[in-house]
Amino acid sequence: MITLTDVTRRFGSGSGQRVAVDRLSMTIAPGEVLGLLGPNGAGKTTTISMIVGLLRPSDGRITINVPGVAGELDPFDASAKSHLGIATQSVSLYDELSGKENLRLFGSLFSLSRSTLAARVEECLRLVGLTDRADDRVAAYSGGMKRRLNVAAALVHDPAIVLLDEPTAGVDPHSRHALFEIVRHLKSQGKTVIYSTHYMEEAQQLCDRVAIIDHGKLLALGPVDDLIRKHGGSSIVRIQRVNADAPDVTVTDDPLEALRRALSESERANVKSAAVQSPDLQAVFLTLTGRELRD
Amino acid sequence: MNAILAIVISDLRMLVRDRSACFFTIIFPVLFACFFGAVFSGGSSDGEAPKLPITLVDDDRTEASALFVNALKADTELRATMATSVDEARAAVLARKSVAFIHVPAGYQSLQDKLFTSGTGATVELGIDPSRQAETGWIQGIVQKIAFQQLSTTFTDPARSKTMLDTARASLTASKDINPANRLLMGTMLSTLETLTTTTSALNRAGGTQPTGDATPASGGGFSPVNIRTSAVKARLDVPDNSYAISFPQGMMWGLMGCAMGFAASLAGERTRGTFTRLCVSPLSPRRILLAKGLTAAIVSIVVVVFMLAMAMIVFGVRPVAPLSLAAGGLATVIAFTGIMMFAATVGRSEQAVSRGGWAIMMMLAMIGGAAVPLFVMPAFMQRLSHISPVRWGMLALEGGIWRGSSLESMLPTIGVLCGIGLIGGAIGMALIGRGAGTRA
Repeated sequence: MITLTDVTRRFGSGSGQRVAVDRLSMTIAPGEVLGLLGPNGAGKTTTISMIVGLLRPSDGRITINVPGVAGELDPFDASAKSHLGIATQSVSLYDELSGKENLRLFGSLFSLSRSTLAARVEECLRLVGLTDRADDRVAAYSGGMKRRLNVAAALVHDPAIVLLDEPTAGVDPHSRHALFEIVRHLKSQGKTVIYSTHYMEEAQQLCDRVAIIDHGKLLALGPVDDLIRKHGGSSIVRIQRVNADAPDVTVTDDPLEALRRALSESERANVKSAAVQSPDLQAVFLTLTGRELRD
Repeated sequence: MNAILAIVISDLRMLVRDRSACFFTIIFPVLFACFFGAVFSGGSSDGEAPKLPITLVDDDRTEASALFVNALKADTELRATMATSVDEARAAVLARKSVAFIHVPAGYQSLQDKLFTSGTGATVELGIDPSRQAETGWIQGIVQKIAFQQLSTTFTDPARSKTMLDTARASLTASKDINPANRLLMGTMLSTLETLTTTTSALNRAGGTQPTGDATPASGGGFSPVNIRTSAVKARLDVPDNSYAISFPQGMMWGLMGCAMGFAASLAGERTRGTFTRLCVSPLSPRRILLAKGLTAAIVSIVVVVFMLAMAMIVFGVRPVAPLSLAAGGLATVIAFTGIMMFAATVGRSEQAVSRGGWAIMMMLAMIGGAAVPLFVMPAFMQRLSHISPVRWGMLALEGGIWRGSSLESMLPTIGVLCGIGLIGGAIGMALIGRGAGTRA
């Protein structure tokens, strides 16, 4: 379990001071996939950096509880590091080394035995679908392959908590799909996953709960359905009738009833098309911030 | 420890695969050393074997001494120049313009003429540094070879041999304390020799075989036609005798600078590319990671120095005069430049900043430190200014072992300065990277 209590992170000083994360509090349960959803500059990467011990909070506290390990761990403790794995937003790999050599290097930093390390390297390469390119230098990899290897590097020491910082940024659909499968695999293994993204469909597909962050503040936290129910607003039903220039738009909490009425026996002949737009995380974000979630 | 070792091995692997880094770390310094070594030496590249430079002094100025001196000058293994006095010849050795001097003293010919009665020839003086044992033996061998050739020539010259035999006969007659039996025996021998040399001359005039220069008579029973008295001339150690002994320490220094700047830029690049961040999320602290990088740089630096030294010794005949001092000085220089690397890697914000800024500063320090122009040819004010450059201390340490002949004791201040630079650089680097931990986004 990861607990953030009133975590604040400030950069700079004086009049130039900027608050990247503002009194963020939340708890992430073991085995949960938590989405950090927010636009660029919302504070997602800063939050992740604090959880893995790369950044110290200016205020507040972060604690980590790992099953089988007594007591709370501070992210800055060396003992906490072996339970954390991070795939950073930028691909952090050595181009001059092969995929296998990269994983071997990063794995050897965690004092794994020789045989364990070799097995883990093979397993991670298989998981990300790079076994056949394992001995090629990373410089020769495509962007998507690098992204996948970047995720594998976070997993090689078999951490209980995996943090993926915008892992699908700039990747092709094939690699994107592969990365989704990796997250599902991690969930099936009981890993805790923190998945940062500004793509709402990714959060909707992959995450048990989503934390919506903007300007460093936590705006909402909960399962996707709950957030939509609470903050998504009403559904929109659009009926395009024959001989009408514009569709009839109905905002309703019961879109089925609206459709039923539009497609009744007497009206059906006049209906050219009908569409229902259910509220989504975009709508939630719009409701909470007054603006759209964009790059 | 395994984690540090893993970083070191990976870094070495990456260096080997990075052609540009390899070039600036190893190839460029070697090219530099070879090029400037050739320039300093006068650039002879005709494939001739190197000749031993010696200085000759002929104080006898007789026909015999002239023959002896000319034979030395004509020897293919020597490059002889004449001096007018022993002091001038000694000065040439002290200045390392010559390896040795050979002094033919006054009375050389008269002593050679009494060779058969005295049983010993004239004595020539060989002035040479006692540490040059190989050259001493070499020159002694050449002198003896030429002396035997001279003796052989004497027997084919009727006038010279007659003079020698007449001198010997007169000496025999004048001597009072020789017993009659010996007097008779020696008289008979001199008569026989006279007959022999007359016959040989007649045969030669009739078209017989002339003795060749290669016909070195065997010296039986320890007999030497000339005696060699060796006198010690301790050469000045502020000028090397081999131009490559100057250029290779400079090349080593460029190699060390290339290594330090290369690793510093690479580490700065890792910080911007994110690989350093990935290393930092491991149980290793940033300080230990920096230490691992420093260790790699030190290993590569040692390899560069050893490789270049081996090349200088094997290919260019450079012989370190103080191996222990060289080992200590070399190690201290590696420590200094490793510390500089750790400092530069943490001060620079980006790979470009370290690479460009670091090299700009390093070039300046190299110029005033003797890595471009040797320290001993710099004007006094430049030599004073060079004290601020770590390159100067590194040059002194390497040169001290290679050609200055510095004792370990006399090198201690230099070693101390270098280790101090390394420790301070390393400590600042550690402090900066430690302070940076927890502040990176």
